[in-house]
Amino acid sequence: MSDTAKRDRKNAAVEKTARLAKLAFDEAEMKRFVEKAASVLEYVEQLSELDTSGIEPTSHAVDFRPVLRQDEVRTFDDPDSTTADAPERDGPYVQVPRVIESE
Amino acid sequence: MRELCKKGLAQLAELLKGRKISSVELTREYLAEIEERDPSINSFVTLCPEAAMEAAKAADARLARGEGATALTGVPIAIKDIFVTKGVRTTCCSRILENYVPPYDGTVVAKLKASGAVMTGKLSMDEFAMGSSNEFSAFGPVKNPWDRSLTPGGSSGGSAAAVAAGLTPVSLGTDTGGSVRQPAAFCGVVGLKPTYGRISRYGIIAFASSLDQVGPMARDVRDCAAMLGAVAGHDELDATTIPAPVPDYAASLTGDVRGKTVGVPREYFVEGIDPEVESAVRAASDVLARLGAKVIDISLPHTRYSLACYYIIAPAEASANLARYDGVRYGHGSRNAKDLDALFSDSRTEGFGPEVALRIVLGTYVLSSGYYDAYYLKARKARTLIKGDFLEAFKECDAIIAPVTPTPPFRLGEKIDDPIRMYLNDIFTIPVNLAGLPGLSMPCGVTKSALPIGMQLIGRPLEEAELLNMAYAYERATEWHTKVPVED
Repeated sequence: MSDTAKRDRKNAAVEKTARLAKLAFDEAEMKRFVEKAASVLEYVEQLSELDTSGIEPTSHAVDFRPVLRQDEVRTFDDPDSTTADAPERDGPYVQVPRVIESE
Repeated sequence: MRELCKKGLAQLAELLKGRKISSVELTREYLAEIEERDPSINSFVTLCPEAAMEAAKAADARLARGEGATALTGVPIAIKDIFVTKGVRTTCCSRILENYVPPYDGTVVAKLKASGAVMTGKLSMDEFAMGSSNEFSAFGPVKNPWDRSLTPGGSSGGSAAAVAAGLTPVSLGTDTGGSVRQPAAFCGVVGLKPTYGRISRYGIIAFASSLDQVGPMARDVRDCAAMLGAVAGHDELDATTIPAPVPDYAASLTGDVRGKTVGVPREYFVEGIDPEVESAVRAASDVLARLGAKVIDISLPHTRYSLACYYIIAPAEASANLARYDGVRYGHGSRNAKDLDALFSDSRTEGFGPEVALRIVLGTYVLSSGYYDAYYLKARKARTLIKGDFLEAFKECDAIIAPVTPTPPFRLGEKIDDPIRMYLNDIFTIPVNLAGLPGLSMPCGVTKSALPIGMQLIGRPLEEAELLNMAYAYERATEWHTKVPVED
C-alpha cells in the first residue's frame, strides 16, 4: 500500500473513531482535527522500533498490593443532591429524551 | 502587594497561633489582594468569599481555644479546580462541568478542612488537566506573573501563578505528566509530585488514573513539606493509596546532604535544551557537591521513548475516564437532542474543548480492536523498560538531578496549534509519572531576561522526605527562591 493510501486509511479510521467516541465535527474542523491526530499517531509510532519481546507490561506504577475495605452500607445524608446537577429532572428522576417510539 | 500576602505558610501559622493576627483579618486581606491583582493574571476561576469568612471565623474560635491547631489552621489557601468541593462549583475548567456543584468533598479537601485551612477559591487549569500552558482552560488563559505575555505552564498553571503572585501562600495541583513541576518551574515556585499512591485521588476529577497524583506547591521547601504532610496518607476510598505511615516532612528537614549520591542522567542534557537551563541545572549539581553530596553521571537509556509511551497510555485512560460525561446525570446536557444518541454526541461535542476531544479520540483509537496490541500493550511494555531504568539508576544514587523543562517559559499562543511541540515541553517530567516516582521542582536560576529556571530532583518511591531535605539544603545555600515577580 502506498504512503498516501495508508494515510487516507488512517484518517478515515480517526474520523470513524471520533464518531464512536460521540464527538461530531463539521468538515473543516474534522480536517484540522484529523491532521493533528495523525501527527500525534505518527509520533507515537516510534515505539515500534523498541524491542519489547519478553517484557511484561506495567499495570501499576508502584509495586504494592492494593488494600481493600469492607463493603459496608453507609448513609448518605443528602440524596437529593446526587441528582441536583442533572440537566433535566423529573422529581427524584433524571430525564432523558425518549428512547422507544410509541406505536 | 499587601504585607501579609508576602509571608509564607510557616510565618502565617506562627502569627495566627500567637494571636498576632486573626484568620478573619488575614482572609479579608487575601480576598482583597485577589480581587485587586488577579484580573491581570486570571488565576482564579471561582472565589468563595462567604464560605471563606465562615471558615475563618471557625478557625479563629479553634485558635482561641488553643487546641488542635495545625500548620494550616486559619490560613487562606486556594486549590486547583480539579478537586471536588462540596457546595462550591467545580469546573475542571471545562464547559461540560461549567455549572457542576459537587455534593461531596474529596479526601484531600476533607483533610484540608479538618486541618482548619480556609479555602478562598478554585484555581484555573488546562481543561481536564490536559495541557502544558494553561491555554486550554475554558475560562481563558492564565498569565505568568513574571511576564504577562508568557504562559505560566500547565496544567496547574493557575495554582503556580497564584502562589508566585502572592494570591495564596500555598496551593495544590495535580501532576499527570508534569503538571505540578512544569508550572512550578515556569513561575519560580516549589512543586512536588509525590510517589503515585502517596495522596488519595478520591474526589479528584480523573484524567489518567495510573499517572495522576496530587502535588503541593509553595514558595519554599518548608511550606511545601508542611502541605504534603497535611494531605498525604492511605485512604480507604482509594485502593491505590499506599498503606505506609506519613513522616513529619517538615521535621525531617536537616539540610544535611553529606554522603548522599546524586545522579546526573546524560539523556536529559541533549540537543534542544536551552543553554541557560542546562547551565543553571549543572550549577545546581555543583552546589549539592559543595554541600557534601557525591555527583555522578548516570544513564536512563529509554528516556527517548517516554513521550510516545505517555501519549498512548494517558489518552487511553482519559478516553475511558471521560466516557462518563454523557450529558445525562451531571454536566452540560444539550437541550435540543432528539434522541439519546444525539444527547450524548451533542453534549460532548458542545462541552469538550479541542485538546480534550483530541485526546479522547487518540485514546479511543489506541484501545480499539486491531490497534490495542500495537499501541497500548506496546506502551505498557515500554513503561516497564522506562521504570527499570530508574530502578537500575537508584542502585547507584540516592536522587537524580535534571532539568524540569527544556526551555524557560514560552509565549502565549506560541505552541497552541502544534501538539507535538507542546507535548515536548514535558519530556523531562513524563518519565517520572510513568515510573510512579516522586519528583520535585524548585527554582535554580533566572535567565538573562529575568525569567525563572527550575531544576528537578527525582527520588525512590516514598522518599519524599529525602527529596525535600535535599531541596532544603540547596535552598539554604542559594537565593533563587527569594526572587519574586515584579508587580505591575
